[in-house]
Amino acid sequence: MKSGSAWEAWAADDHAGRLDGLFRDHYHDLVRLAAMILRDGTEAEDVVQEVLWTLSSRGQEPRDPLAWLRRAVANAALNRLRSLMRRRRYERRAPGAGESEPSPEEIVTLRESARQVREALGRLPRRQVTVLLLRHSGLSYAEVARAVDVPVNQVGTMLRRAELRFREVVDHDPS
Amino acid sequence: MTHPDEGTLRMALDDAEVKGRLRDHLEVCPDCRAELEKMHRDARFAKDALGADGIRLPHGEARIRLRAKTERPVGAIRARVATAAVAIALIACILAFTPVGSMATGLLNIFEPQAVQPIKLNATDLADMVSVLSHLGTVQGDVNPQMEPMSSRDVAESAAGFALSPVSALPVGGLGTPSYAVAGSNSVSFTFSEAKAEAWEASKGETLPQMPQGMDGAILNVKTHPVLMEVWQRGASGEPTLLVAASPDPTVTSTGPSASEIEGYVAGLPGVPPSVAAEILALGATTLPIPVGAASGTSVQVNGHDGTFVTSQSLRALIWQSGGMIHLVGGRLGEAELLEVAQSQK
Repeated sequence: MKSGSAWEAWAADDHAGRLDGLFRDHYHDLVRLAAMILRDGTEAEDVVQEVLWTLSSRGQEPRDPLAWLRRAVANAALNRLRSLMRRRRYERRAPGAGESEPSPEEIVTLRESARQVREALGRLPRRQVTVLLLRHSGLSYAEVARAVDVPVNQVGTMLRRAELRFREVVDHDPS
Repeated sequence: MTHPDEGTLRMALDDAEVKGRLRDHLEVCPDCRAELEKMHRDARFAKDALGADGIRLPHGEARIRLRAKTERPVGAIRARVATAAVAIALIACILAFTPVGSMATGLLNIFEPQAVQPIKLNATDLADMVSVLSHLGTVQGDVNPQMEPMSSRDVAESAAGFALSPVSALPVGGLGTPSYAVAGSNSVSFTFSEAKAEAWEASKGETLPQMPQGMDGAILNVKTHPVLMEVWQRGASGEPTLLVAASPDPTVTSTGPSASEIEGYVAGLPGVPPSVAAEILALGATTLPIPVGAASGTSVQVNGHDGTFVTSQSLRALIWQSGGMIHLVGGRLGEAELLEVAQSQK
């Protein structure tokens, strides 16, 4: 554990309280980030809760806690998204496996445009999605670079390729 | 000025004012202006599509406060059970949907242990058990673990949500640079149905053990957590020279029946070979059964923790449990070298 770090300060007696402070400051931005991927506020909040829980129970210091949180939320939301997509494919393939009526939330989240966006995001390489989402959630190029751990001068290229690919995938949505 | 690269152009899109040589170049280069215009359209498209304005986001801070570590935010509170029988039954279900044979899946298919123990359960036994289970209830869940490559240890650890203990003793000879991958979590549920079981019993003429009270409609769930792998590999394909992996203990939960009830019921099912049933009952509640099939498994100690060394044509690995995590060290090295690598993880 590095000395003098924010993490070490948190690891003191008031560990949970201090984490609460960090989470409170960034909670809504993180939920919004997850919602950009999942297109659903409740799902997004679940994902952020899981990530916050993970960070609070993690024994090792991330180098940059906020960058770690942003990346982890994007990753966790993508994991959830891909899991939802797999389940959808599985249920289409295996009638009887998913007979229950969709909940109102599911109906909302599966609306056509939301579905298209989500599925396109699910087909993009993980890092492209992260760059795309972080930049379009309002982070600066420098903040995006920190979150995905690349030099800032690569972010423009990554963002451009992500935007191009995203449009191609949405335009060629097979369903 | 030569044509600017796409990254420079893209960043220029977000600048309020383009200055200097780039501006001069754009004034005289219709190709770059056209490219910039296309970038602008694509960026606008992404901005419109990805905006969160239309999504109802939760308000307030009611859920921000951290819960105690033991109260992980999951849906319903369920009784936690941890039995070898449950694990075996659900291993069978998971394997039915999972490509078998790689070390990755080997690690994905293990549960809830304080110790690990190889169990002779081959592919035919598993198929039989899955076949029986399909008549006793419904399996639901996504069990399609996909390894996703990660660019660095740090990125992999943040994707997985935990840190991988570094290896401090690599074999002599130089293994090169490791690569990283993460497989996401998975959840499989099995819902017992007395009606299905009775219908099957009637049609087959088989006599099933009496389903314990409360088991009808009860849901067993196995949740596997992300798996983080560090891989040293010479060449693009083939088995890795060395693979180090870890995953938090899988979680096995039940909505109803107790551990011993499930254990007794599953061990008594007709599809469970008698030798396996005996092994299940002998294992106890907190031992992780690893189905090794025709492979051999021997007991080993890794830094004081009980583990197992599994060898087969497709798998040579040490698997052990400590600190709430399942650990695996495998590859083409010999047992002594693998053990040395495993012991060096702190």
